[in-house]
Amino acid sequence: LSEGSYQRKGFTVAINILVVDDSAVMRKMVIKTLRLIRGLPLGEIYEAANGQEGLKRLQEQWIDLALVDINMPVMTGEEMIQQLRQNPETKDLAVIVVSTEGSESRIEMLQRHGAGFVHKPFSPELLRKQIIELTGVSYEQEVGSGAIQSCGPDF
Amino acid sequence: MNRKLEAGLYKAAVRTFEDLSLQLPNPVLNDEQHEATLRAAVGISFEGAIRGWLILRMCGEVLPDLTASMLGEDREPSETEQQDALGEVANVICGNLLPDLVGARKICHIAAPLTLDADVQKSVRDMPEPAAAVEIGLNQGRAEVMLYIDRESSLCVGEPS
Repeated sequence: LSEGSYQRKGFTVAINILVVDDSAVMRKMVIKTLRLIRGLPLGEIYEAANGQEGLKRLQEQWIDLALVDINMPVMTGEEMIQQLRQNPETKDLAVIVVSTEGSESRIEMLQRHGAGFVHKPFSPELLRKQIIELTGVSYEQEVGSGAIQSCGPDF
Repeated sequence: MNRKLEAGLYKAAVRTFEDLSLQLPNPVLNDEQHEATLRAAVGISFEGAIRGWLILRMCGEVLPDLTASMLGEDREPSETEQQDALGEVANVICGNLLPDLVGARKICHIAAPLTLDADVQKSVRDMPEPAAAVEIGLNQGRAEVMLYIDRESSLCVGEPS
């Protein structure tokens, strides 16, 4: 098992991630941060500029985790999450809201939809923690080898 | 202008520049920063528990460095990327500020950032005095952050936590 990969039930898995944000700069920042997270088994990374584009990507690609902004034109992240939860194919998708949202009531509402929350600006550590919590994958560094071992449930 | 409101705005802006773009803001402007001319501006409206505008103006040659720092790239960022980065900085300042103004459980909806061209900025100058305004020194320039609050929605403003 190479450094930075996860192992579960004998298989190495990679997470396909969808980043939804109307700011192209912020999408690049999020993707850069994902690549900085040691041990995260990144698969494909897809981008969308609003909730509507995000839902379209979900229909087109296999996505394991969506990182979604809230305040976006065309379709907000809130609407996107509500719609994907109503679709049998995407209702169980792991979603983390990455937003400037500061209202506890609104954050709690998003959490009731099963979404994690990371406040902008965010650190790689915070994003990593949320990803591990939400996807169920956990890992620990093996002493000396730098390999990663996991024990979480399936996605 | 309300001192507590200014303190909250300053804190939110400095934190955003530090955390989002790894800039080191300085509170006391030097001559070069004072004399820097306006290069770009963006406005963000918000409504809900409180209604108003936040305007962020960048003076001097600070936006290219700020954008490159956000992107983590050495190349000169495009104009589009610079405007995008400016909007995101304003968005984060606004998002950090509003819960302190209205309380953590109240909801405010923040609109998408709007680039302010010369005509719009002229109309902004004609607006009444902002509820709060701060200047922050950044390298060879400065950022000006102004907060406008609709008087009818400002019942609880002025007591940031």
